[in-house]
Amino acid sequence: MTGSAHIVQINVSAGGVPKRAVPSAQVTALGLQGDAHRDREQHGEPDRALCLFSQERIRALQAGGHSIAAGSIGENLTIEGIDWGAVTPGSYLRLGAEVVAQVTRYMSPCANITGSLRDRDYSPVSQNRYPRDNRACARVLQGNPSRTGIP
Amino acid sequence: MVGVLIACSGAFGSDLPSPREIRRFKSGSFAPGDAVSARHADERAIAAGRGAEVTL
Repeated sequence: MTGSAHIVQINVSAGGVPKRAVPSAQVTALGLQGDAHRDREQHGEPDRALCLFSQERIRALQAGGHSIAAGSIGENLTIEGIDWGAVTPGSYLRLGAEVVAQVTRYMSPCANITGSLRDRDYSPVSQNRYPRDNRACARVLQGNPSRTGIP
Repeated sequence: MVGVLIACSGAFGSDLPSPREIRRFKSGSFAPGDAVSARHADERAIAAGRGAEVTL
């Protein structure tokens, strides 16, 4: 458990990448309101309602010469302060005061995100090549509609 | 969408909801700066079929 862990950025798009930062987001069991997907076979079902990634991993990729930034490879939430290697399928994340998500699987990289990666090679975020350095998919488990305002 | 708790055993820490506290999901919100906490999966329990299994 990491006490200082927090949401760095919330990202949505009308489909595709990059996803752009928004100041707050409402979430349902199908994901963030205002977020959409071009490929609805690979995205947007309850078990893949949210795509999560680590700010520390993004910094490491930037240091390796990749042009990645928060949201540029399509994660909905960029999170800092979590031991990302321990965020495995089955893990629970409390996100703010209202939402709990459970990691369901890792996200498979695709050609759409290669513009953010050196030499257009997506293997640095491939679970097969770099286990536990990848984006994670999560389902949403809990929300309280009476507490929709974030101070 | 309706969340239905099927089974959950030992998957939550003290700062996360108990299995009984998981309720039907409607909606919620968050913002940058909001705290994140994690309860990591007990991979041995999951491998043995005793991990948390929550289906929406």
